[in-house]
Amino acid sequence: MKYDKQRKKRLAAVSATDLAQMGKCERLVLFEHLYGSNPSAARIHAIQRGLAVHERFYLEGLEATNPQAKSEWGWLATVRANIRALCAWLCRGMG
Amino acid sequence: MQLLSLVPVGMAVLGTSLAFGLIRRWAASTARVRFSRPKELMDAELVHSEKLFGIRQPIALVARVDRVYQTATGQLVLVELKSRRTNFPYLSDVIQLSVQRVAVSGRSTLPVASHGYVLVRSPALLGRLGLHRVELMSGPQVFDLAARREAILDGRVRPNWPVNKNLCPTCSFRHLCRDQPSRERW
Repeated sequence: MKYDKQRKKRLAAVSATDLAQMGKCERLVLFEHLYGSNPSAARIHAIQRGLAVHERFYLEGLEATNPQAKSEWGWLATVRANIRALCAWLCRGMG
Repeated sequence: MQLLSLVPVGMAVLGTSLAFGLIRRWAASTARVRFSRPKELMDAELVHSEKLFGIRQPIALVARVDRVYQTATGQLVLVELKSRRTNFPYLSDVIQLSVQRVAVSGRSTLPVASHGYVLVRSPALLGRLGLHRVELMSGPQVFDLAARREAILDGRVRPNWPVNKNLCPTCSFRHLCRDQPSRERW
């Protein structure tokens, strides 16, 4: 039953991230499928860091496509993203 | 005594100049990200940012693109952002961009370039940037890889060892890899 559920979910759609993992380690792909994802603390931190960088990157792209957003509230979002990145950096330094 | 009273002033000046320098470097770093485009994309228009694309046939694939630029010739070029210490693209980046290309091709009438760019940013606060042009896999190659993944998950194919041996020490499943290969296998 559980296997059928997993198979149904898998057949629904393969994400680019899932497929990209094949380029790192195929054994890891199998283990994660069998036992579930078990990210280490460093990996979780890397994911959070990546999300923060992507958020900033997205906001910069938004500013580039919509200059009005930059002149009004876009700067505030950029400041917020920068502060979050600074906090993440300080936390990493302390941890 | 007079000399001692100058110490806080000196420290304040030093602190201010340090903060000013850090802010300047940070601003420069942000500007580099904003304008970090290859020559090819200098005049290109940013048409998609953090957008999800997907196809259903022949295999259902979904991909979230970081950025898609449209060049003057009407071609779409994909850019993928990565945050890491090593400033070079990996095979996984190429695969990710290739899946994105297939997904975007299925949803767009415009042609998608057979190459893409991997933008690497160091995780350090004032991280440096690297921009790398990579040749992408074709559609059939992506579908073959998806089929191989399916075969591995079904137990029909034996999975390969990692390309990079440095991945093993940090892998959370290393205790399950009983028949770990010797160093000679790489």
